[in-house]
Amino acid sequence: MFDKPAHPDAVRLWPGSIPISHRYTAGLAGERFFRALAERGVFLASRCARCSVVSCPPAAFCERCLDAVDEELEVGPSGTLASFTVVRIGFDGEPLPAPVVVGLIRLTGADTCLVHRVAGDPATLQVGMDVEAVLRAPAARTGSLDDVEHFRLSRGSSSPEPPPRSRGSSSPEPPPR
Amino acid sequence: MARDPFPTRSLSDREFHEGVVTVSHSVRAEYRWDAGEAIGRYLDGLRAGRIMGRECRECGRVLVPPRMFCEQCFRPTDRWVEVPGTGTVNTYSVCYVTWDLRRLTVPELPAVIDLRSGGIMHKLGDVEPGDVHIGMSVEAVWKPAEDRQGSILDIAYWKPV
Amino acid sequence: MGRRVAVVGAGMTRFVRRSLETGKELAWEAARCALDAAELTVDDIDAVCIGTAPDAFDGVHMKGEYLADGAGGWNKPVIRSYVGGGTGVFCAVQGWYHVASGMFDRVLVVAEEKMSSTMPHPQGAFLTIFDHITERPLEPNLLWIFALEMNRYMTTYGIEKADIARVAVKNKRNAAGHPAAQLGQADITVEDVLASEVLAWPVQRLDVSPVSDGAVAVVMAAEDVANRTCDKPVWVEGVGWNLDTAYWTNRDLAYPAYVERAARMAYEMAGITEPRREIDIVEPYDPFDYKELHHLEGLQLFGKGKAPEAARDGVLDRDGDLPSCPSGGLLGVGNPIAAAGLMKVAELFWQLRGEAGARQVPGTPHRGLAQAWGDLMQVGTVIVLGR
Repeated sequence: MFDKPAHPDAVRLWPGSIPISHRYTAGLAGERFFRALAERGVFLASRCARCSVVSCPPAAFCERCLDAVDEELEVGPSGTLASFTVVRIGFDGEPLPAPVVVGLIRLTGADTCLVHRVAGDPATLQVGMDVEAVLRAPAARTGSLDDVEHFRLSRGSSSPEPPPRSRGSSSPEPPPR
Repeated sequence: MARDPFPTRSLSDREFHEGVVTVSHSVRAEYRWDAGEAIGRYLDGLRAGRIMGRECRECGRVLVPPRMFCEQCFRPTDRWVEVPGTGTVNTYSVCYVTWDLRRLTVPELPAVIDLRSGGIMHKLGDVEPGDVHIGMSVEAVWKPAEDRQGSILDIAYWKPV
Repeated sequence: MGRRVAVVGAGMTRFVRRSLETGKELAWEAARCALDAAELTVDDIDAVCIGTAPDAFDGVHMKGEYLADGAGGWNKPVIRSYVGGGTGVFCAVQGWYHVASGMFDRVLVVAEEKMSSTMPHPQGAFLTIFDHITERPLEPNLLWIFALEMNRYMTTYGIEKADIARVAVKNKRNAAGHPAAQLGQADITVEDVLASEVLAWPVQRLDVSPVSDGAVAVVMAAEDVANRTCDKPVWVEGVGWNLDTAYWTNRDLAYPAYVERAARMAYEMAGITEPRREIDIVEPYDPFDYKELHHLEGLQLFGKGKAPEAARDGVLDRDGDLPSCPSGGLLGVGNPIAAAGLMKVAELFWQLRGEAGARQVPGTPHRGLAQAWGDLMQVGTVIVLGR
């Protein structure tokens, strides 16, 4: 249908970018969550009266029933490590100078998880372990997720009981160290 | 309406920038676009000081910017045709602001310049805004050959004939 | 064409320059408002159609998915559509065919935009609508496209700027009666518009609709459900949509042929042969004042170049022969891109039920048309509603 290009090596590439920046509000619920974190060093959650789901970070509405959510409570600062991963490669594919552990943490009292950094040797971590938040000093907190420096294993934390094995099931292999 | 709208919380400019919790972020979206066959030849033509179009024999149009297919007849276009560097002003504007609404010291004259079968967007120059009119004949003012790079900017602007 | 479908509820947020609410919370506010108006819960909804324009405005990738749980989409079939400014009417069309197909009985349609997130100005997101190789090197500005089209339209038909300015005045005054409006102004005059700052001649500041945050939602239901549960269902009588070439400089800018084609599609479905006589209220898309006139001609409501006379003669006023943008339009209520189009659909719902309060057009209007437009000025989307 089309003629073959006469000079297939002369592909012309045009470099460019889409320069765009944003400033995001935290929203009705987020404003309260981050102010409480910065000013009082606590984690706020919300509870839907109809569905009883406790969300942290909190929400202004419940996505299940679409009711407004008015009940606010504190959760954490301890919790459990619902999952984690060890990241060794950066955004552009470059090797990181040191591995970074990112965890999914369910704060005590909440039904939902949040994502944050986990400090410590990845070899000591297992799903299900108790963790606790390490906050920055009050003067250093600005109302940001970064007001939490990271999570770490709780003092006195030990390996949780391994899950019961049913016939034919297997746990995933731990990542290579 | 029967019911009042939701009490959406409006923020002043100052509240937005200083009063509420916000997060700022810039997107790093970088690209290297393949010009494709038609635009590749178009750009080569511009470097050589020529405007190249593609003819569709079925509708008879000479398409600029060129494309390897005619979107109206939905068939491949048939051959390359050089289009003269003269045209008429289909429409123009006198623009006093940048894209982020800062005032320009010298206004720009963006225009659509009709060629054989339709126009391209470019700018007018060597003319006072008050002297421009729709239907005016214009010609391309080319950059010197050594400054041309294979870009729509190889035409510096269009001026009245 | 499939089952009959009605709009049975509508709701919206206020349209504001910057909201504290996140986009997700805006979507929820509108969805909640529409469900309450229809006396329904989210469990009564079978599917959700979300309309939201470029992800780049809110700055959230996969914006439809992000908004979905505010829009009642949790654990439901959800679809998100996007045709630039045409989205607000287009997502209503999607809601229509979801129900008309027989697949779903009740659908929630939600349109949202949070443009205030884009820094330093939402124009930065619009810039990439120009061709990256053949246009962006010229460092264009979105205002150019509108100014170029406006000039072509004015010059082709010998239109005076004052007649175009009348549309901005009409809409901003109409919006003074809208509780959710961003720019309602009861005392604005043509002189105010003509004296406003020239941005890209012939476009002046007061010709242009604002940057806005906001959301709108409507509930659509199948005939038997609507008749059983809604006191005054507003029926979808026709839909149409059409896309023209993206090579905008190769097109005739004086006339929106794609709006005509979308309108003809809707008129045929609705059995309308004389639109000017058979339509009582029109809500054409008005991001700029001249666009309302441009679109009224594409909609076959006035001859080419003839809409400005109608503006001058008061035909388009709320108490005129063909009220146009009685809501106050984008120029008066605001322009959160996708939500603006759905606002026009909601307006027709309220008008046809006699619930538009201070904005109510007199008499008993039976049939209205809402139209939106967008992309690289190439999409027309139309919906005809009636009682």
